Amino acid sequence: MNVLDIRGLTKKFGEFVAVDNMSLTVREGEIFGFLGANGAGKSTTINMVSSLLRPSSGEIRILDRDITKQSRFAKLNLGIVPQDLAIYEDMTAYENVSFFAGLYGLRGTQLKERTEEALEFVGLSDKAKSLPKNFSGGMKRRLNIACAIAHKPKLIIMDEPTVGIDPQSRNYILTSVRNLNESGCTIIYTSHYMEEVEEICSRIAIVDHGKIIAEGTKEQLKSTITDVKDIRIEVKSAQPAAAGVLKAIPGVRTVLQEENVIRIHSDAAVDNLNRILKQLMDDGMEIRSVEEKEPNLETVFLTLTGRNLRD
Amino acid sequence: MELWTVGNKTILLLFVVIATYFTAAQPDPWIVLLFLIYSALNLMLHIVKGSRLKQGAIVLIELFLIGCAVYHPFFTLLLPFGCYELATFYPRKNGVVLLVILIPLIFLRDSMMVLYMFVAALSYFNYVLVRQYMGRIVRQEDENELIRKDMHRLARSLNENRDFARASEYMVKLEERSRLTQQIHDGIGHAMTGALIQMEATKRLLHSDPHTAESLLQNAIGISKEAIEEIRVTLKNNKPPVEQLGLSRLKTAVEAFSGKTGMMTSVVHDGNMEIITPLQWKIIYENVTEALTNSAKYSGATSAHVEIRVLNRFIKAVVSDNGQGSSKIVKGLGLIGMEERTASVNGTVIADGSQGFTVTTLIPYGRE
Repeated sequence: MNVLDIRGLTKKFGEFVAVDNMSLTVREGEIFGFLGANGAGKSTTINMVSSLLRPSSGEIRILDRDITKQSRFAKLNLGIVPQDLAIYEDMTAYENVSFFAGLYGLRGTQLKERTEEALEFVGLSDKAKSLPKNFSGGMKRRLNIACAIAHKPKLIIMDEPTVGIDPQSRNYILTSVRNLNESGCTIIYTSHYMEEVEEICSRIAIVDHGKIIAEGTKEQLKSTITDVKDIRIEVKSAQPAAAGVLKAIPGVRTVLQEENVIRIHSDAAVDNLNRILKQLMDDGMEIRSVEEKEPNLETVFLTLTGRNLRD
Repeated sequence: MELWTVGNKTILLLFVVIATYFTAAQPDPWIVLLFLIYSALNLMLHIVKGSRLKQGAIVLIELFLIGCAVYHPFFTLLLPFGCYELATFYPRKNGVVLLVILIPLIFLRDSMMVLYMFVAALSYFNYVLVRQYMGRIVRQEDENELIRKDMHRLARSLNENRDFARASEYMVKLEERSRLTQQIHDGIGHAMTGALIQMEATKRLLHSDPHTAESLLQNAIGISKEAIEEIRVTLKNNKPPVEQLGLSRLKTAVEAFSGKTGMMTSVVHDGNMEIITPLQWKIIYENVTEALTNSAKYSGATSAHVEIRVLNRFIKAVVSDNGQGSSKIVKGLGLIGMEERTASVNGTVIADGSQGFTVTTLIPYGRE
């Protein structure tokens, strides 16, 4: 089932087109990455999905229901973790989560249970009674997430949830995104950090100037620009016969041997590094270093648009 | 418009005729005569040519009606219509017309006044609406005419483009053919002649000096072998590359642009150009020329760079300039046209104004 269906979505601010005839589908159980430079139209799209902005034209469906016609249904099934923190600094963590969950209609013991569950999930149970103004940036972010998930939405949208936080909190958040996904949530994750998107997303759309310019798994996206990876292996003493044997390994296209450095061009889609290394070791070669140059999403973006993600 | 006036007038006239017939105690031959004169005058109105004469005729009819009205009040009902007819010659004077047709009210009494008001108001309303719609239709017809002309012009330029493509294709073929002829003449022709001479000599020496004959024959065989090899090489080298037409046409256009505008231009390409289909070339060509034209018009740039790259799944065509760029891009007709063209092959166009102005056309293509 499609959790989110966007057809021909357009948003104009005056003459400026922020989102330009965008169509995309997010299926159940995905972590869908929304990758694009600042100002590419990611947040505008998300604000339209969460009914904060009215589209100039186009259609948005959540769980097959139009969000303008059934806005209550859409809101109950949607959790938003906004880019700018949306928490009350002078209410305790518990009160914050409880307040937002209450907005979704949770009451009584259910409200209490869900609030505790959400705090537990983001690892803030022991800080439930503390005020967020004493929290670190990462903890505030986590509390922000707890507020969005307490009502157990089917679809959670996280808009740049890792901006400006320490690596530890960042890892915590990435792990909790995965856990949420495993517990049955579909997640849309926007970021301009290519590494994060590459790490956790099952499918990715690259957005630029309000348009989706490429879409697919990270392997598919990488293969849009090239399907060759470049492996460079340095060994202690190369055997002259190495090249011939290596060529027999699936995926390997060419092997170049320059003294103690072996360079291999191989199909990017085939995972054959292990076999290559094993072959070399079996031939009695001692491996000193391995370098694998594979196009990453940053290079995909750069090649397709001619610009860096972080311009 | 005319048909509408005649129809309305006829209905009104019939109404007046019937009304007078029922109100009169006994048939009055004078009234019949006046009706006939009225009809005759109206016929005259349609016979005379020229707006002056027509206006004169209408004024005459109106005066006649006023005369008749003195004899029988029902004739006043026919008055408003003449006013409208007269008004068609003076557009934008609806208010004046309304005032003029209200004048007879002063002279009318009771039920006649009500009837007159009813008829005048109804036909005034009719007249204003019809005038409006007629105006709209005329404007739309003008527009249609413009569009038709535009289409004609575009079709012609399309044909010219096609002719140009065909002509340049033909030129390339001719050049190719002449080169081929030259090569065959210079290389293979000479070799074959050499071999032939040696074989002739062999024939003569065959009996008198078999030994020399054999070596000569061996020579001839050697030359023939070389010639065959040369044919193979020549043919291989001359197989025309498919992509050359598209790329060279693009380069020619970019150079022509550079000559016309004085902007520095460069064209680079990378990857396997052969996979680009003629349709894709056409879209790339049109987008590139359009983007260059925009650069020259708006950017104030001094140089523009064109890049065609064939990636693994995408064909990318980029036009970038060193002009002022634009932080908020407002899509004009040119950009929308590019988008539509490119969308027809499932591609996208990205316009970016952050560093100079860059228009990138991305067209996906299938491998496998």
